[in-house]
Amino acid sequence: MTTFRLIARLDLKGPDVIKGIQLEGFRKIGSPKVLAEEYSSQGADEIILVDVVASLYDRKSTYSLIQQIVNSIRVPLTVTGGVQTLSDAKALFDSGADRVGLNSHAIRNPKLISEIANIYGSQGVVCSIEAKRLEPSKSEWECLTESGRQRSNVNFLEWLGRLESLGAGEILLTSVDRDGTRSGVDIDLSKVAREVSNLPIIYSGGISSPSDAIEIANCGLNGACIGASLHYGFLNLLTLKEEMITTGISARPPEAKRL
Amino acid sequence: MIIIADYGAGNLGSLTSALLELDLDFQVSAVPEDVALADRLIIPGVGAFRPGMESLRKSGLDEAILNHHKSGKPIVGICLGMHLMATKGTEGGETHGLGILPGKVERLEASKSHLVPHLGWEKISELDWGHDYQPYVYFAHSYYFSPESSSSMKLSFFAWDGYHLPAIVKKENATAFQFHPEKSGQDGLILLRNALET
Repeated sequence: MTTFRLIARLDLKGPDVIKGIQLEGFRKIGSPKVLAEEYSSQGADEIILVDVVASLYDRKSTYSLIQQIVNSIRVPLTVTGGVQTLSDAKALFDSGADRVGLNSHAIRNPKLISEIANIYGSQGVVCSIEAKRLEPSKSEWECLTESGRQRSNVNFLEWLGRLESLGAGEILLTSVDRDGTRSGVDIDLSKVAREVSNLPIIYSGGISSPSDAIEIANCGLNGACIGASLHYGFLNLLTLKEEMITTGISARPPEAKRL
Repeated sequence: MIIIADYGAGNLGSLTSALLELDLDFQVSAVPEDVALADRLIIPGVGAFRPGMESLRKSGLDEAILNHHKSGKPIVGICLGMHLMATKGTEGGETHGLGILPGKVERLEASKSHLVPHLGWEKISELDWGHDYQPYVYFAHSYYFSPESSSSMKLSFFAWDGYHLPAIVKKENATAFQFHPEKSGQDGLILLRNALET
């Protein structure tokens, strides 16, 4: 069994890491390079940068930020946000991103996924899905775009089911309802996602305790992506990993405990 | 001097920063004449077998790599670099590889318990490791190296729900990694340094 991954999520706005609640109302958290180093030394298995307003800012500074982060961490880096064309993806890979994430533009133009996968391999393409429940009592979700700013009218399960054949190599599944709330995991969403897709799935949104991360693993998903709880000091990856391993979940032991 | 053979398959930022962290001198080059001067050689890369091999042939790097290998000096392949060292690849029809490692490169077969691409960290089995814990390393691939049986290679494996697949393959002066040692924390750095000192 491939180990369960704990991934630090850095939502990026210009030069800063920010965090909102349900993808809205951003609050400034700190420097992306400093936080990437900090979470990587706590034992993060990967870092994900989510450029939430990519289209509004100067991309060149994002590329140079990616280069700096790649040079200072020893784990893979995924970058998502603002990729409209193959050449946008190329610029991110050339800057050192290991995987590139797509959302809004893949929904508008699904062929973009295969264009990138044909050149960089499907292991390089992550499809980011921002799933919002249509009604609190119903197990139906819609995909949002533009970091939760736009509705797409695309049904979550239908879109998820298409992604493997389009060439995606992984899903980053964000529960918009839980994002930034530290109110726990949307278990229902996690379970239906696993039933529908045979791709690796990383869950994001609402994780606030070790038992949340354990629940995600028990749903058969492949990783937990954590933002707010790390930023505000409610969770530490080192202790989180130890608790998961104690519970019998297969995870990479923290290096800090071995050296 | 370590030469990193640059045949256009992927960004080398993580690899060069790993070598800097190990305090090793290196040069990135796409020129066969530079490879001829290397005392240690790294073939990196991500992407597909056929275009990777075509790019090595076009630039003349294939012969330079084979000459380096024959000289007995350390040679290290990473991910696609490992695959190109095999006898042949099977992606989109059979393609000849460099033929340094006897075996062929095949696609991972997907199922509910074998998600493809195979992404993430795995514990790998002992091979000249020498520490009191086993290393965990980072994989990102859809193809794997299937060694020819009865060949004289040393292997380290990772367990993939019922299967044991090669993580490291060693044959004489050649070391090949299926995973990315440059993105595999301190364990990866140790494995990379050891391979360059083979």
